[in-house]
Amino acid sequence: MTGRALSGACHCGAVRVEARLPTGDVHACHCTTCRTWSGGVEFGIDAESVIWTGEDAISVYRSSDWAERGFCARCGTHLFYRMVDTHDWSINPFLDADISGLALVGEVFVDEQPGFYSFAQATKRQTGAELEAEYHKRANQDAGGDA
Amino acid sequence: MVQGQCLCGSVRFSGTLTDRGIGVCHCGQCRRWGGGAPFMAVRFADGVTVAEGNTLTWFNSSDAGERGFCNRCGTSLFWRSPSEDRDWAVNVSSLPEDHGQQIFEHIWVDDQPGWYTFADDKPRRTAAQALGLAE
Repeated sequence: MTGRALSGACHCGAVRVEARLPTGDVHACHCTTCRTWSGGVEFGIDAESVIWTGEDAISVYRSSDWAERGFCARCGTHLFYRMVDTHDWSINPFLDADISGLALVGEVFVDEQPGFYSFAQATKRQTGAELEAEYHKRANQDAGGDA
Repeated sequence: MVQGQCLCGSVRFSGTLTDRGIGVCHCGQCRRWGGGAPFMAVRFADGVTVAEGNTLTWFNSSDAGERGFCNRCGTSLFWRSPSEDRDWAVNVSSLPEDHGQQIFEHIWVDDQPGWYTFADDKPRRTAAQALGLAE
């Protein structure tokens, strides 16, 4: 098995998660929606084979036409960001307090980043438009790309 | 007087901002609660007035404080200490973008993982320093 496992929980313990992480790559999102939702910069890590327990405590909020956000209804811990069409998961890496081997590799929606903070790490920085173009290009390739 | 709100607008509030600036908390509770984010908060010294009919839920996260969030959209909004109930830490991005506040300190840096670093040179304080238990 490649990658690593994430085993975590929300603050109050009502929701638990087990998932496989293909890489330790963390992306930060600076968009206004993520910053408002989180109170800072939203960090997410791509996850597969995601299994939640305590699902009755998960509230899901549809924040745009293409994505939804999950949080624990009891303690408010942010759990995930998920694409509505592909069901691709981006999970809060800090649900697992003991996780190691992570790296901040990318920052997205840098065109919405306010001036009062920046990260010292050298990352791949993309605007919202660049991210959207890459997403559509990848979706077309996945669909066959013969045309 | 400044006004703020959660993502969906179900929690609207107002209060008077102090001029302290933005404190960035890297403690494990803030990072987990806020979706991986270090919590960036400004202080409202004389409490916050939350409009009626709101969807605000409080969670007691430790002996030291409680956290308020919108139970409809999940926006992380407030941290406050029960012993100093007029002193609220407020999510800076729930305010209008022209708030003009700058980072003045990072706290609980001994709890911060090494894989992300902020570029500013503002003071870094450990948990003990932030609590006044160490120089």
